[in-house]
Amino acid sequence: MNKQAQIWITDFIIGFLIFSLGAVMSIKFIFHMMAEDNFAEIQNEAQVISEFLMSEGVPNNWNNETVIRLGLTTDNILNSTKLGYFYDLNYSVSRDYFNTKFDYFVFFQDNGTVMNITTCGYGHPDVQTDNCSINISGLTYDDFVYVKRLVPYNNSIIEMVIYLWA
Amino acid sequence: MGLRKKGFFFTLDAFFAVVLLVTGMILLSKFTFQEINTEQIDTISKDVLVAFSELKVGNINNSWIQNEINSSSITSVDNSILEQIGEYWATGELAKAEYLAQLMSANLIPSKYGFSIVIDGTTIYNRTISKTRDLVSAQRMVSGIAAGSPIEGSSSSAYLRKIRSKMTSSYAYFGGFIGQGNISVLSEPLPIDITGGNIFEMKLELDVADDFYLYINDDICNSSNITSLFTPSTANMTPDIWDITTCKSYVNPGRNNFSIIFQDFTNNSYVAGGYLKVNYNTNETVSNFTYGIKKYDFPEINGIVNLYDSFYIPGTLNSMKIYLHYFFNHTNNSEVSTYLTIGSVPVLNDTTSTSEQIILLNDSDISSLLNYSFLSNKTVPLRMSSYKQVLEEFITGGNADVILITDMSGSMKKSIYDNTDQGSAAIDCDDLGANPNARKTALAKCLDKKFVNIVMNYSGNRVWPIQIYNDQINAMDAPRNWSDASDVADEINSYNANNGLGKTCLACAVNKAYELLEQYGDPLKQNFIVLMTDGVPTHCADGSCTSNSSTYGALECDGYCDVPGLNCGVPEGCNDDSCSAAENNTLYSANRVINEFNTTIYTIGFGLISECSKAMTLLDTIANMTNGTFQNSSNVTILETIYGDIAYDVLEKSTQYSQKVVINSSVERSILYDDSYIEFNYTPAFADIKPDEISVNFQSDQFGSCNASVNLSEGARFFDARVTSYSAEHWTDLLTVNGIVVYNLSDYLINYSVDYVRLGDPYTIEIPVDLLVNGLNNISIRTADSPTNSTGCSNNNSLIYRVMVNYSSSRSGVVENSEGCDWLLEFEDGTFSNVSVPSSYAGIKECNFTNSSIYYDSVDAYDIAAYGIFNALDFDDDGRLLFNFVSEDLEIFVNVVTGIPYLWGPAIVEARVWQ
Repeated sequence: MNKQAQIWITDFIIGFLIFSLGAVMSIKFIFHMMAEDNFAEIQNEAQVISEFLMSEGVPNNWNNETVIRLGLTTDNILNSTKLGYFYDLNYSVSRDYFNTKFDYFVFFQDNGTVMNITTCGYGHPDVQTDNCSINISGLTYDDFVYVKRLVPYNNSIIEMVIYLWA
Repeated sequence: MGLRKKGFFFTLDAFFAVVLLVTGMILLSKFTFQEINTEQIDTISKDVLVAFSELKVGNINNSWIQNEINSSSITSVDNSILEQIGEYWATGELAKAEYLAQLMSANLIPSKYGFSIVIDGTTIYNRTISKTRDLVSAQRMVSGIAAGSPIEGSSSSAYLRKIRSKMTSSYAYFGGFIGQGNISVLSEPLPIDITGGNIFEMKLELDVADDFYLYINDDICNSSNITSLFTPSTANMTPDIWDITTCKSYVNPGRNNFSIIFQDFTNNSYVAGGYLKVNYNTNETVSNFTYGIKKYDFPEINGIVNLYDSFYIPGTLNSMKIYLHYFFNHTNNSEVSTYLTIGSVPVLNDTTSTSEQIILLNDSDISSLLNYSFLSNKTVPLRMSSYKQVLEEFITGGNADVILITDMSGSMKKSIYDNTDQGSAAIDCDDLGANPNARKTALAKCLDKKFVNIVMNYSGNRVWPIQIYNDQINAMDAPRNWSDASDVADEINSYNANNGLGKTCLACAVNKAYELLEQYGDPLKQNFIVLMTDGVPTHCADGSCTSNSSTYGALECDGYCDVPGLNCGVPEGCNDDSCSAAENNTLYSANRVINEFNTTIYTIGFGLISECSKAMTLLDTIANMTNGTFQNSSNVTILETIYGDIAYDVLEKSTQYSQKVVINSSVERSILYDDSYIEFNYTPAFADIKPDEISVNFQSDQFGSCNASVNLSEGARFFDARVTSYSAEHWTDLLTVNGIVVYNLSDYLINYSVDYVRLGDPYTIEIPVDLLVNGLNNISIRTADSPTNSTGCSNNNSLIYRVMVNYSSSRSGVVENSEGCDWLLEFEDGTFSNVSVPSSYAGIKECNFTNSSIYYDSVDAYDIAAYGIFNALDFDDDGRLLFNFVSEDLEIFVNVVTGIPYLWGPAIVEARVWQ
């Protein structure tokens, strides 16, 4: 009788461990799948926002009083005035104009160096821009996407970088 | 012990299983949930092209680019990067193009990506990586980048345009035959801006037979020689031309009334075709013209209404209405009617009215009378008459050339009905019935004279007597004239009434007729031969029995005996083949003269020829070769009738009628008012003027004969065409174009009518343009009084036609210059003209477009455009332009665009990015 009880307990412990491990793996797998769906959405959103910013906006000479849709270029060239208007916007308001639920940050760089065009970047306040060094270590996110676009500015071609995360 | 071992192994198995499972899960997770690359390449290529298109090379702070600018390798600092890459490519500097592309893209595109720039399939720059997948391409169209061509230049296109104050014409036609009395016609509408000041020429061209005054809107007009009386000087079928520009101040905008007022009301108070033409400048560019509806306006005639005219239906006739306004008092004479025929069909016949009439015939009234299908696409003759009908036939003369062959051989010295008797030579030609036993020679002489009297009663007919006598062919000779009836009578009187002599060579006589027609005949006249004999031919013509000679050849047979008053029995050859060679020679000669001169041959068997079957057969065969007749008799009275019938048949086939009527003091006047009209609705057969076409009018030279070859421009689209025909008092009855009958008046003859008296007569005959060909066109025109009685034609006829010219040339390529040139142009009419293109060009450069040379500056946009339009107008590539710009009031307008930065295009620039 004693022997039978001992075997059952050992089997139970091992079986329980196997089950627990499978359950943990399953949960992790499911969450990972969910995370991928979220990533695709962020990826698309980043594209849309980049297209907005590469456009002239609506109206094409918009300011913060008249803006309907944001855009930073005029005749395909980065317009620093529009950029200034953009920077003046409240971050949460700008997200509304982009119609996005995700957080973002925009900055420009030339040949790998972040440019200080009025400021070194604009977006979520947790992104650190000290000395025009972009630091996102303070952010917590599950998914993170960045998009680079080329845009003429001041007689050269620079990169517009957009971070988007959730 | 056994149980303990089992428990140990079970636990160990589970442990290993867990280790394996966990390991598998970790590996699976590792491979399945690979981290996704967060950078995107699909926007890079597009951004590169946009950025390259916007940045100007002059603004780029780069030493290499600055050197290129300083060394003028870069010609325009306003070029974008993309344009400059293209420009390097265009000029063959591919290394520079590659370097610039590399320079501008090096720091933009991460090195992990492949990148290339391609222009029209040529790779300008290519940066490769080891892997190639996910290639993304963006393209942009750049116009006119051409390898090896200039960078900036001019492009041009040219078109013809009427200058602002265009020169054009309006006409008033006096068509067909308009008579008799005072005549008024309305002109085509003139523009509202017309004044005497912008009319630069007025011309009156009329075939008119009597002196007249010309009134323009009730003002009398003096001709250029400052006399108000216009006196025609030319013969029938030939128009007179008067310059009446001095009367231009009488012309008003809209429709103008031109009146021909004859000095006297006579038989010649008519106009037999012509027009009044007003040439003017106007700013009005579009004429009032309703496509699908057309109107024929009647002229006003105050005298006796005697109108022969026509109208053209340029398509499928759908409906028609006629408005007639006229006056004639029909009370006094039942023989008088006012009638209107369209084609051959009377649509009005008024025999009762006594006052001014306004008649409106609607389509429902007309469509039941006329065959619309038959009239469609045709020039339709129109005839209106309002006078006493018995007056109307006016015979103007004859049109016959007759060869009268009389057999006076030895057998002819016998009685007409008895070969054993000589009969009486002393007969009274005026009472032949009293001489049934007349000698054949005497009777023939009488009948010849009677024949001549009938035929030559109409002036214009000619008779040439030929006598077969004493083995010779004796023809009338100078100084006797075959158009003089007395000379012909004298010739016949010289025949020996008592005695015949010799044998018979019918072939010789017919060959003689051939010679006379060939030497003295008139191709406009109708030819007849009257061949009389009393038996079979005995001789072939000299040389052979297919000889064309009029001299006797070998004797083939005896035929009738040449013995006075004796019965020689059955003549040789009458019922045997001994004379067949001579008979065949006769047939051969007859066939020749028929074919060559379209001759009608009447044959007469004289006396007892019915006893000679071979002679009967021969004469019948000859007559049947034409539309002549063969008749024979031994009865004097019947023979008299036979000769009379033949004479009148000749007259019927050759008598010339006139459209005019005799005017005398008893003629009651009638009036046709000029508000009368025919309006018809039709479905057009040919396309209207297209938006990119301009119309140009042409008139050929006068034909100079009834058969003309007219050379029409190669490559032109014919819009309409018409032949003018001055038919005088006769009818234009046949027009063929390139062998196809366009107009045949005899188609309208009905009820076995033989002449055209009740049919209309066109002055202009429209030609369906699909019958015309580029190049030579054979046009044949004929006037006549009946289908068989031609009256020739006028030498003054011509072809008037309108062509459509595509007035624009395609845009040229880009060339360096745009200055212009002074062109020397040669035209198809042989004239030359200097034209500056553009019109403001004042330089010294000269260009040629002539038959002898064509040269111009091939790198001048103006010259290229001008050459393009000249070349388009030189349809036959002979260096001569179709029409004269100056006379047609056309201007070449060249549209030049200068400073074109790209020389041709479009070229496709493609940026490719891959990873």
